[in-house]
Amino acid sequence: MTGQDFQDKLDAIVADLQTAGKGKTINLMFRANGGAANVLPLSSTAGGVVNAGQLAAVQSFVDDLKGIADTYTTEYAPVTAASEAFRLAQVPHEALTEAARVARVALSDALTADAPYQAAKTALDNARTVATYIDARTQYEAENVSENYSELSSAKGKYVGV
Amino acid sequence: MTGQSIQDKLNLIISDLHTDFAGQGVNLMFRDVTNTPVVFVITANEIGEVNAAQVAAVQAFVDNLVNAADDLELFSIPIRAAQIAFNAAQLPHSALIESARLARVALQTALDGDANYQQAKGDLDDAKTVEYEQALVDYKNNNVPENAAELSNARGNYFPFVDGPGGGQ
Repeated sequence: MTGQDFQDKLDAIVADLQTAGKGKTINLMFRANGGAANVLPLSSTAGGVVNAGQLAAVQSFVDDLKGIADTYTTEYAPVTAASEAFRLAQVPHEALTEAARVARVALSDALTADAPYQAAKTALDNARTVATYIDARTQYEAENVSENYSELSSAKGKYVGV
Repeated sequence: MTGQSIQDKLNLIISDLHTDFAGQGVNLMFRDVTNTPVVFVITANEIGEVNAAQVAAVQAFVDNLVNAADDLELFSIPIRAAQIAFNAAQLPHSALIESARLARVALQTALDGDANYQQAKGDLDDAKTVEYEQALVDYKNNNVPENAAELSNARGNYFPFVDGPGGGQ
């Protein structure tokens, strides 16, 4: 979607209001940045004159979209090209990729169907989330127990005269 | 690591100062709960009498380590038991686990050894610039696809314009 695509769509609506849609109104229900509704009416007189103030408001909103769309298109182009190159670079490895996928699925299927395994896995997961264990581990880390234990080991023999 | 193993380390140092290293001292460089260095000194006189106040200070610090280690050890017991049960439950699937591992390693080895793939991967990472990421965010935040669809959908949905207060506006 380019900025020009946006402008073309708006221009088509404006042209309708100037010709076959003379004397009619359209409500454009946009969504603004942040998610708020932004309903902009656009009307023309029986003579096909489009309300300039309304059109300016719509054009201003559409201009923002055009700029954003064009920037996105510009910035996305190198990513698209690089993505395609990356896809092609993976082609020589498709057989190995598929073999890895098949092996992974076979394992996953076997594990999923094994009720005792699932029970053991759940029990292990649950055991790791027990609050007393988590608190103890947090305290252990806070006290720098491993590092301080290492210091007690290292310090032995490092004696100095007093 | 148990609390006793920590205590044993301290006891060995004190024992050294009592005996073979009488008349010497040691600097113990710990890190406390605020990650601040805490340096303790323990010295012994020529006949191997260790400074009691210095030992008490070190022991107070080490007691916290001992308690923390013992608590973790205690509350890890159910996890170790669950881990043993889990390992046993995995045993029937050892062959499949190994097959999956070998397949994964084979793929990774092939990818690692493929300069063309690595180049393409690096190029793709490089292509995702800060500007691109920002454009992507703006594109999403401004609901560009939805608003484009609205411009398409709205066309033709005209209704009569009534000029004047409250009409057509």
